[in-house]
Amino acid sequence: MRQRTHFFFAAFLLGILVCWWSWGRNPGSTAPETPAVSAGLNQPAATVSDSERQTQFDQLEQEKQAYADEISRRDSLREKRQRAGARTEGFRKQLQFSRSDAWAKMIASNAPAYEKIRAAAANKGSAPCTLCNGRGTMSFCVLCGNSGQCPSCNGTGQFEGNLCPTCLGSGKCYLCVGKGRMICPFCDDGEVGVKAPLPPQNLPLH
Amino acid sequence: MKTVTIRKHGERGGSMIVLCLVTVTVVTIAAGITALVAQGSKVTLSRSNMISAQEFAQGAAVIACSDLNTALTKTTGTLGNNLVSAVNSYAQVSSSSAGVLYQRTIAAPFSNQTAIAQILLPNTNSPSSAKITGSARVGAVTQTATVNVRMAWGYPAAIVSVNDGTTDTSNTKAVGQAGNVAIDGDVKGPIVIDGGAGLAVMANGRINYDTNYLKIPAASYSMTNQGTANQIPDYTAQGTSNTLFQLARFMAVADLTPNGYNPTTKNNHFTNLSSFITVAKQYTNAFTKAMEGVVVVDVKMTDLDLLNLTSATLPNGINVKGTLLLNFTGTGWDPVSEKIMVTAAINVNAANLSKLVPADPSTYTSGYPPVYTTANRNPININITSKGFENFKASDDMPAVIYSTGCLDIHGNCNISGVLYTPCYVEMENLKDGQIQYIKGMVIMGSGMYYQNKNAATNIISYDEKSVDALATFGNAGKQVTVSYWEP
Repeated sequence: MRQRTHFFFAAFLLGILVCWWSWGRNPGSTAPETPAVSAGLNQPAATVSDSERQTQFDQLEQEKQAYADEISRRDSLREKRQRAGARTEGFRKQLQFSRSDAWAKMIASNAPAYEKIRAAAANKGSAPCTLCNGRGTMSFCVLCGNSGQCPSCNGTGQFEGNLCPTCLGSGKCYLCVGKGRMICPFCDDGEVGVKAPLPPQNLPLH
Repeated sequence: MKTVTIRKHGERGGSMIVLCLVTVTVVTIAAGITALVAQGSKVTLSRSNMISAQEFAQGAAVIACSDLNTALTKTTGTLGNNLVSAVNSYAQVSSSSAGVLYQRTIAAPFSNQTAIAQILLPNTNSPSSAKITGSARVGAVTQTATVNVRMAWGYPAAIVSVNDGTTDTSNTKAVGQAGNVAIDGDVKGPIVIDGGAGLAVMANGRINYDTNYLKIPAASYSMTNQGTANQIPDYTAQGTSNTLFQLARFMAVADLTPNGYNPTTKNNHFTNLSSFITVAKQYTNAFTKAMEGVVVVDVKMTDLDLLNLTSATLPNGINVKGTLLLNFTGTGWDPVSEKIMVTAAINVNAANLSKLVPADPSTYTSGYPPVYTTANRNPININITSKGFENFKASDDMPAVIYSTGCLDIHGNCNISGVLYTPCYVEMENLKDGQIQYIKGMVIMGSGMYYQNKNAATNIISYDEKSVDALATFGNAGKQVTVSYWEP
C-alpha cells in the first residue's frame, strides 16, 4: 500500500513537471516574436561566401580611400588657385602698364566718335553705340591682340610650373574671355548713356 | 486492541498525504519559477534579436539608398544598369509592370551578419522614385525596414552657379562674366534673393555684393565651393551625359506639337526671330491668351531682328505657358560676351503679382505649374518617341526658360515661374524705374551671373521647391536620393 501510494504521487509529480516543461517550450506561451514587416517582396536567405564578404569589405575601404584622395586632390587644386589668385592683381597691373599705350591710343582714336554719340544721347538719355557691334562687343582685343589667349601664359594656363595668376589656369585672355573681341569700353550692352561713366583711362583689371 | 492499531495506520497515511501536498506545492512553485525565468530569458533574447535584426535591416536599407544614389549620380548609363554594373553589384530578380526589382546581399560593414537589400524601381528610363527594403535575420527573428525615396533636385537654392569663378571680390559685370555671381544694387529699389526652404545662392565661385546696400546673412548662401566636398558638379557641359537638360528633347516636343503657333511649319518651332515676333505680338499675359507648350526660337547671329526684342516691338511682351527655349544657333555665339538684349517683358508661367510686397516672401506667388487650355499642346501629350526620346510625364517639372550657348540679357520686365537654365552666363539688369523682374523657381547657370537693379524698380528671385523637385533633367542629372518616408 505505501509503495503504491508513493508510486502514484511520484507519477503525479512527474506529470506536473512534464506539463511545465512542455508549457515552457510552447511558443504560444512566451511573448511572440515580432513578425517581419511585409514589404510585398521576396525575402531570400542572406548568405554570402567568405570571399564575397572580404570583397565587400575591401570595396568599402577602397571607396573611403578614393573619397579621401578626391578631397585631397580638390584641396590641392584649391590651394593652387588661391595662391595664383593672390597674385592676380599684381600680374594684371603689369599687363595694364605694358598695354597702356595701346589702350590710350584706342581711347583717343575713338574719342571724337564717342563724343558725338554722347551728344546724341543728351536728348534721350542714351544712344546706340556705333563703336562696337551694337551689342557691346568690339571687333578686337587690346590685351591679347585678338588671339583670345592669356598674354601671361600664352594660353597654357601655367606659369613657372604653377597656375597662371592672370587667368587662373584657364589660358584665356581675361579681357575678352578668350573670344579675341573685348567688351566695348564706351557703352553698356550697346547703349551709350549720358549718365554712364566715361571709358576707363587704363586697361581694366577685371 | 485492534481498534488502536487501526487508528495508528490512519495517522501514518494522513501524514503521508500532507507530506506529498507540501512536496507538490514546493515542486510546483519551483517549476513555476524556473518556467518564468526561462520564459523571461526567452523573451529577452527574442527582443534582443528583434532589435538587432531591425537595426541591421535599417542599415541595409540605408546602404541601399547610398548605392542607389551612387548609381543615380553616375554620369553614364541608365539607373538600372548602373546598379547591376556597380562594384557591389545588384542582380535584377524580377521585372513587371509594378517595377524592376534589384537585390544584393550586404556583408560589409556588418560584423558576422548579412542582410538583403532590395530596390524596386519603376519601369521607366528615368525613375523618379523607388522603394527600398532591407531585411535581416538574427536568431529566429527576421525584420524588414522599408523606405520610400524619390530622386529630387539636390541643390536647393534660388541661384545655382556651377562655374569655378575667380578670386575677384568686386560686384561688377566683368566679375559676373568671369563666372561669379555679382549682385549689384543700391538704395533705389529692392533686389531680393529669397532662398525659402533652400539657400539664396549656391556657387562654386564667389558671390559678390555691395555690403553697403545688401545685408545677406552668411548662412543663407554657400560660395567658393570649387575644390571642396560641396563642389557642385558641372551640369551645364552641353553635349555630355552630365548636361542638365537634353535640349534636343525639348525641341522634339516643339517640332511635334500639332496645330502649333508657327504658321509655316504648323508647330511650335520658330526658325527666326521675325516669324516669332510676328506671332508673339498676338498673345498677352491674360490667362487664356498666352502661347502654350514648349516654344522654341532659333536665334542666329546674322538674324536681322537681333535687336528687335524690345518693348516697342512687343508691347505685350513674350507670353508663354510652358517652356521658352532660345536656341542660339550658327556660328559666332559664345558663353559670355555675345548676347541679345531683351527689353520686352518676358512672361513665362506668369504669376499674379498684384499683391506683391517685395519685403514679404509670403506674397511671392507662383504661376507654376501652367494650366493648359489646349491639351494637345501640353508636352505630356506629345509623343516624341519617334525622335528617339522618352515622353515627358505628368509628374515632370518642366523648366520655364532655357537658352543654349549664347546669352539672354534681360533688361525689361520679367515674370517667370519655374527654372531658368543656361549653360552660359545670365545677365539681369533692371534698367527702368517701375519695372519688375520676378523669378519664382530657380536660376541655374554655367558661366556666372550679373544681377543688377540700380533703379526704383523691383528685382526678386525666389526659390520654389515645387517647380524644381521633379525637374525633367537628362538621366536624372542634378538629382539625389531623398527619403520620402519610412514605412512603419
